Amino acid sequence: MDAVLRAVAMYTILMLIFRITGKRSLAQITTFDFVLLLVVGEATQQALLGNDFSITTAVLVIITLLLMEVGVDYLQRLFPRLEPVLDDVPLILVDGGTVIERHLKKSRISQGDIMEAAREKQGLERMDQIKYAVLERTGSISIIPRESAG
Amino acid sequence: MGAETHPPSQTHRHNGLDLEIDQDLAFQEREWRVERIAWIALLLLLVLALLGLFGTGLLSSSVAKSDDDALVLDYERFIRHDGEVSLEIEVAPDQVSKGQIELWISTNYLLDFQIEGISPEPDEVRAEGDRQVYVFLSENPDAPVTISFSLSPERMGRYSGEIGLVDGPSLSFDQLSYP
Repeated sequence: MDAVLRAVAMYTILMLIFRITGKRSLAQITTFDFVLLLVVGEATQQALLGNDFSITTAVLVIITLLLMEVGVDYLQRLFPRLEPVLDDVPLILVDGGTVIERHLKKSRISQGDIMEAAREKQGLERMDQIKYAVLERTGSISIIPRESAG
Repeated sequence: MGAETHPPSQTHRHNGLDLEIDQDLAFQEREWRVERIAWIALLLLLVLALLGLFGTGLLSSSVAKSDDDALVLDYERFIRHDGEVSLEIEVAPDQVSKGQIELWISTNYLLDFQIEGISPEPDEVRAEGDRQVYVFLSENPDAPVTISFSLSPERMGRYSGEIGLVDGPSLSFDQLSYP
């Protein structure tokens, strides 16, 4: 029973903390972000399992976490107003070629981050080749290139 | 109908070019405000933690003494489930009788702990009613005796403990164990 309660508590707390710290927290952009993710995983595992290495506890924890996921989805279906609260919303960073500075500042993203995504995802070379850049809920930036003229 | 539905995918228009997206700027602005407040709250939490609210620090370090200071206990007021707890007991030299000290701890208290170690090792351990009695030998009649118990809480919640010397002074203390 302990294991189930811990899993519920950790799921809720983690969800709260990561929603609060913003879209970019888990995007794994740099090596350090990756290390951070590992450490968070380790800390969570300790809290969930403690000294109990039985298959029973492991399975109970996994089931609890997955059911919480299903529960959250179900909740969003029942109360659509909860969707932005639980899942976040995307944010336009570049609109028709115009960089929206305020959105960048508030999301703690630089033009360099946008260009990096543009190069990685679309092989673009310059900012003026970007029609739209969107900061998705997952923290990754998606790029829609301008259709080439002529 | 009950809840107002979230607007379907908004189509964002610019220069006649469309982008279908669920952006919700009103919500986003509120979210940024909430984020700010939450970061400050989390920071506050960390500061309190550093000060010892969750154990090991100014807010947590406590001392309990028996009348006339014959028995002194250094302990942490805040402890954590499965964490490390250390009880440091100092016994005044005049309490040593026949080269030994008989220290008792309430059984109720110890029951919910895992005893990791006792330093120095007791010469004898026995159960007496609602108390566990530990007998420690002391060669030097002029020096105070320091005994250290290493424990690990097995539950969260309040702990009430009592410690004393058989036929001697006693003291009580409380701890709070976080989950």
